[in-house]
Amino acid sequence: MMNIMLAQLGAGGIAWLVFTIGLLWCSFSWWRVHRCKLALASTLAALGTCIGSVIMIGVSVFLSFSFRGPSSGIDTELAGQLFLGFFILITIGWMASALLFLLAAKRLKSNPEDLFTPPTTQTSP
Amino acid sequence: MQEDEWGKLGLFIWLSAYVVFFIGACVLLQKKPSMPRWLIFFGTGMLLMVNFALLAEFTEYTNMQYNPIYEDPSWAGMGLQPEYPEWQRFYWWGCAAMDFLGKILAGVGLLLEGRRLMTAFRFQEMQKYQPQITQPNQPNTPQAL
Repeated sequence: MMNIMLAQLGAGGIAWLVFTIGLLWCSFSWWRVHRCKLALASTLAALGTCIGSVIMIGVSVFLSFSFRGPSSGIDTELAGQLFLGFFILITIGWMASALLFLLAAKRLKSNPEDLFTPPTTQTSP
Repeated sequence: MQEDEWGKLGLFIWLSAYVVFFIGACVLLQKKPSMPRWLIFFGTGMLLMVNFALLAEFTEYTNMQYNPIYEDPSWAGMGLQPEYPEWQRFYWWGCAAMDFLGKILAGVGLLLEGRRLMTAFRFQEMQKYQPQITQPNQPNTPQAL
């Protein structure tokens, strides 16, 4: 049972981290190219979600390994509250990321290939 | 609020976040279709479906718990839970697998999209300092540099 739980936690955690890191990287590069506040806010929200997720996955893995019933000395109530708090924070960050992603996508230039065309330079006659 | 109602609320919030992501992917595709954007589209679409399936199943299961038969003392005394049908196991594993696949697809799509944008950024930066490379016909004047 524990192995199945750890397998699910591991697989789900890795997939989730790939997703959030991808979102962070995409928002960051949007911000580098377009320098708009929306992309910056999206990057910050994705960063918060990413850090929160790493902490939450770390705590879950730690608890999975170290919790051996009431004798293990872990305050389950406190752990549960911490878990719930992080979960709520991540959910808020996640919602913000999703909204900002949509807004940034709407603001993105309609033809991104324009980025690769060289700018016109002024030359003296 | 009951624990299962919190669970439903959480699932609903995550479902709406996936809906917003999916719309964002559609907007990106509408502007300029590309392989990373298709990956984001399919990945978020899969996540949306999985979350919807989980929400529907969770609601069904919690509704089942309120069935009066489980409040019957002769049943409750035996510690019986609402029974899971055999296919439920495959349902959960299927959802977990689709969730994993959807997140990986969307994540890789986002990483590739970011990589493409970073290439554009480097190209822009290069243009600032070396415009003569892509414009060989322009005279190499101080204004051009």
